[in-house]
Amino acid sequence: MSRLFNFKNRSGTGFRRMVMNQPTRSTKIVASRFLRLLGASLLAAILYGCGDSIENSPNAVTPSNNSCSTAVDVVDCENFRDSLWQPYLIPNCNGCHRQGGSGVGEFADSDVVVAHQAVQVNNRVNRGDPANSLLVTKVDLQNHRCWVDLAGEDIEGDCAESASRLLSGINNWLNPAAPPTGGGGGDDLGSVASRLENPTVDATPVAEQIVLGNVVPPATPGADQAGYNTHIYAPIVSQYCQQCHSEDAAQAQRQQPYFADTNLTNAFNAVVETRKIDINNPANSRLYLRLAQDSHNCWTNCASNAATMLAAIEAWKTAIINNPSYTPPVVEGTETTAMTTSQGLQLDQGQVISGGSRVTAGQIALWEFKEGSGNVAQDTSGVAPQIDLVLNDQTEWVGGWGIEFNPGGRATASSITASQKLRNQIVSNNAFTIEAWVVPGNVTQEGPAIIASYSFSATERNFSMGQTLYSYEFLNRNTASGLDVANRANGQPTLITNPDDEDLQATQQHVVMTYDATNGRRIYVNGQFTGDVDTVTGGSLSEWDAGYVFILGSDVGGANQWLGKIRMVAIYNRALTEEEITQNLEAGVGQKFHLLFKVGHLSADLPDTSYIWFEVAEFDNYSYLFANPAFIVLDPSDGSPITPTSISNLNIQGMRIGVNGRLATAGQAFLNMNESISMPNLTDTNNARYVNLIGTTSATIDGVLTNNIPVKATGTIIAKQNGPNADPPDQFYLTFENFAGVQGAQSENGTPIPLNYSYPAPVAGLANSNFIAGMRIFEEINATMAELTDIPVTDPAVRPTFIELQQQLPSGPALEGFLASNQMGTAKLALTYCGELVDDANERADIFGNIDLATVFDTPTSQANIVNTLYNRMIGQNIAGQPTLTEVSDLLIGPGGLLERLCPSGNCDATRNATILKSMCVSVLSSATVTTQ
Amino acid sequence: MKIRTKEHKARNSFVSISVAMLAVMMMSNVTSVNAGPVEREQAKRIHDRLTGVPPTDADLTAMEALIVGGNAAEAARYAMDRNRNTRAKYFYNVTLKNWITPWTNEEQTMFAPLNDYTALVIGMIRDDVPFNTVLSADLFYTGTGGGLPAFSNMNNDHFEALENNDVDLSDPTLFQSRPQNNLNGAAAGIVTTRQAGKAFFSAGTNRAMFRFTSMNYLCRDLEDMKDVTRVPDRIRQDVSRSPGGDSSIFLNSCIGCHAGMDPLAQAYAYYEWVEDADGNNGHTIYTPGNVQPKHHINSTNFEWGYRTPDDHWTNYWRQGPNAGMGWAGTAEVTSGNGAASMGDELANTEAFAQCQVEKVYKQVCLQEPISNHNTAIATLTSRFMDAGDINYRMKELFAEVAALCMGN
Repeated sequence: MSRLFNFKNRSGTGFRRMVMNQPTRSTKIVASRFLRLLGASLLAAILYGCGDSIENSPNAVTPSNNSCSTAVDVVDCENFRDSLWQPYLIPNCNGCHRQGGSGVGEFADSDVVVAHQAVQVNNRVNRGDPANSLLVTKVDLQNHRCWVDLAGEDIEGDCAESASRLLSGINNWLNPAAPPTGGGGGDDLGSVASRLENPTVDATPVAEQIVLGNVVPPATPGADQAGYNTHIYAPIVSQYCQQCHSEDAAQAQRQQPYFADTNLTNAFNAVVETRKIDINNPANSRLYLRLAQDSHNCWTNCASNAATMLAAIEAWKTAIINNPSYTPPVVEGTETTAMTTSQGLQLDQGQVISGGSRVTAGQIALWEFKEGSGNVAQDTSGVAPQIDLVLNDQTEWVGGWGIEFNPGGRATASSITASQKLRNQIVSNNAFTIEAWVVPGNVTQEGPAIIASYSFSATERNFSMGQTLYSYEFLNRNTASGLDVANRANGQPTLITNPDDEDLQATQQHVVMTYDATNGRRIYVNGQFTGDVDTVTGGSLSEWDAGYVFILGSDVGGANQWLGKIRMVAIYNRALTEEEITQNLEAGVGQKFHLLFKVGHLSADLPDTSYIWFEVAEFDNYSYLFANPAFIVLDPSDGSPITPTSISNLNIQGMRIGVNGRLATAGQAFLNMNESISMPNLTDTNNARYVNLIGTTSATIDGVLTNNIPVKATGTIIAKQNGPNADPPDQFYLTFENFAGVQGAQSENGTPIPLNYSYPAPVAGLANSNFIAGMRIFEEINATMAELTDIPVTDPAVRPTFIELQQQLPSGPALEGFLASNQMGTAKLALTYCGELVDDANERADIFGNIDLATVFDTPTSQANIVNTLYNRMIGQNIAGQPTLTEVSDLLIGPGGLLERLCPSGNCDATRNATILKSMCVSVLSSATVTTQ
Repeated sequence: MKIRTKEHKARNSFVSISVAMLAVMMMSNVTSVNAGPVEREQAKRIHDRLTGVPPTDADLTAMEALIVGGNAAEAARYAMDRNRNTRAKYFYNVTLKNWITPWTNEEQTMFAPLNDYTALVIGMIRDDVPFNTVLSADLFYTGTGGGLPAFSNMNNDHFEALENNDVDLSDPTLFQSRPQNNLNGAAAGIVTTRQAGKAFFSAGTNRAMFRFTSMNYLCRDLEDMKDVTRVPDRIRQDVSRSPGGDSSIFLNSCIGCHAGMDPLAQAYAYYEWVEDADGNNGHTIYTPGNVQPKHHINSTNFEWGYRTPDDHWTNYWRQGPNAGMGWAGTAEVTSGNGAASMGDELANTEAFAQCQVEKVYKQVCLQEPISNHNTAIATLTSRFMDAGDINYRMKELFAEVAALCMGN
């Protein structure tokens, strides 16, 4: 098996190809290292010099002067030094571009003042248009000395990436407080807009092979409910999923979507509307993935159930395509007209425009995880030595830049020596910052679970960033710790965010930990200081050990595993300010593309170069982010004038995002759009040629008047289908319910599910199914006893007993829920009521008449009087279902009955008789004749 | 005056309990039963289930006569009528109190003291206030008798005293209605009671108020209303679009509830529960025009999400599967401002009416609805909504359902 490697830089020139055997991961690395070594050797032996090539530059020397005090413009020089000279020019260009060097211009001289003067001539830096600076274009377009190697790419020197970093440095220098790109507000739309170019691709969107559905859009033959029934519904889901995924399921189990509904049409509609089956790519179907990945209610064995489901979907797909009347479907949204649908674009057909917004001053290490493959994540700070991280097998790359730690996963610095950069750069400053974009996998891990660490073991560390449940933890070895040596060496005491604040969430977060002697440690989450104040201040980092290594994902050795994703890590040799942290937060993370969906061809009233402009990124492994939609007009790339020269009341309604010819089912956040756009004079360069498609409003929030609040969500996520790197990759397009007066396909509302008045059959075997018997519940029992004994519920003896017992009494009417403890509670309560009744002469007289306790059971008549009273009052006369008087009488006063058992002699005193009377009262009051209903 | 000493009770307790248990065991030996008229048994069953206590002999006989006369529902009305039935108060003090109490707390427990939420619903039922205003009415009920602490919006003392003193809630002279607009600012039935605020406006994002309102008055938890195809342009920033790093969870699950719920729950934008320092007392505040900060917490979870500027709610669930819930009118999307109008939107659905019928059925018939009563429940739902018929009078619904389950 062979594989084609494409050696192509991003500017599209100077590529070469080679064919090699499919390497294993390790052989690839060896090969890559060999090539790099070879390159370095050739460089040393043959090519030492400074002509144009994409090889590395000769090594830099140590700066001789980094003070700007003698510069003409001291502040500008210092910004130049911190943003461009120190991080990029000295390490990469000083070998040639210095006094006495062989390169033209001394802009990377070891003396910063000399370099600052030199960089400002010959358009090396274009202050009006940084992207057109010679420093940038020379590298980007002429492939001059590109130094950035992206691990995983088989490119020696990625020129686009090198140029991007130079531009970033220039932007930071020229406008250190510039608003960042990205983010939700799009504050610098104008700056980005001015750099957008007409897309080189002008393609109509393409539909996939099969569209499921009964009516609209027209179903592919066989891709209807009959096909669903044959392949999926009858053999599988109606048998194994119907107990829950059906409108008729018992409420406790009922779960949407109802793809297994007892009504086939409803079931099929649910499948189509929620797209639980991806018929074009069966292995992407949720019905399959829920079994295969989530082990969701498998009916026998998950692997075999998943295989059954996948085979069924594939069989259905085959049957559809082999159907003689099969015809490929149309792009969804173009059923009635193509004049409301944009051209299509793939993600990599978008434009990457560096905003240069991150703070880089003092940055000594940076991992952006752009590689996407291989097992090395490079330190791209430009500050030598690079601390490249080696990913083990339990660590995976994630889309849109990042890595994910599975159990056992970690990324470890390739050497102790490289890691020493941290100690060397930080200890002398006695300040540092570690910044990361993380996605904790859960909020249950603790230890703390180590996100990032400069350490030796689970008990010896210089610093660590960790997670404990909902909190971030910051460990730092500090002389002011106040603890013994062992604890100091473990970075104790820890600084942990208040658990009640739940600062850590299992979603993407920007977390920054700063340390300086004055403030000690501080933790910022999503730009906000968490408010957790360090008690360890005023110390130094002199105890930091030079023999430790930098690691992500766990402690060295694998202890304190952290699960989740990391999308960027940066380390600074100073404490960033809150403003700088906010700036970095707003700069965002990951690779962003500007996609220009062409709509100019849809109306003669629009210039051909009219677009809907979206910021698009891989949001994670499962979706794309579509954010900040705007309408924009660009100059024609052939230099011809814009025609027409104005736009008047362009109406845009109901914008939807499509992928591969189908409109995304979930996430259509712009469907309610209804905007009217006017641009009166497009030829006047003072007029903005773009307009945001989400309006803004003002509001008072927490007492503060806030402006520029978008009236709707400004972004959404759309599910990946094939992914951006598949063959073919996902292709996006936009379609509108109305565009420039033309009505297109309208969105479907979905099928209403009528209310269900079909209830389950009664339990079989009940003689009278129109009612079932049940228990009285606690307060009903209490009230019943109160009424039957005539003792009020507020009685001071009764009330506390009830309060104490109430949770021991039945809480629901179900007979099957009745427990022995319920009966005990009932009896105890009855005893209290009957005690009050018998012991109080007045109460006793109210119920039993004027009886004498000493003689109450002396005669059959007196006995019968008691029983009759209890029966009539508590059981009721002539009520079907209740016991007869005779039977109750037999049990209480008959042979072997209660009276005989409690007073065998037949001659008991008043005290004993009172107890017997109470027990007769209890026996009736707490019996089922009273407590059931 | 009864005087009882601890010694007295302690001395007798062991003997008494063991004797009592013997007595209980004796009664469990009952094997034969009366063969009285079926109407008398039905009358007792109706009384038992409506009031929770057995009837007096006289009341039972009166109810029996009504059933014999072919008017079982009237027998049920008799049971709830304090002017006829001597034990009618327990329908209000016990049955309704225990039926409603689980709606008033997150734990859904009935072991909780009487509170203003429960009292309001009891009062509405007693006075035949149309129940479709339960989420919007400017109405409140308090006790009037002596010996009660004055009502305060800061604590529950007044209502606990009502319960501890066993005040007869069926008595209009002891338990009376009043407006609540001077209490919370923007009245919306039970939503703006102190207890609802304590339970569902406390902390969080006020979505709990929507969820529990839906569970208690539409008989639907959010899962039952899930619809991933609605427009998600009002889902707030705090909802992670990638929970645990997996956005497919959001697209297949979270979005289904939040797309519809967030624009509805926006009606609660100006409410907040404010607690005393000791955590025991507190009250709901209403800040018109000023969005409570809880609606903007965790705004960086998804910065492109919706930011709540006011209390303007929108109902997207009038389209799609939930259109089948039977919303009033024919509009495909409705909107309004504030909790009361949103409450009206929910309470005038057929789902609301069906839910009340089902809840009453479960309470009175002691079981979930069964297929024998499919038609009866559908008919009662429609009659419950009919202004010329039951017109949302809950007491009437109790009467009809009690007749339905009296047995035969």
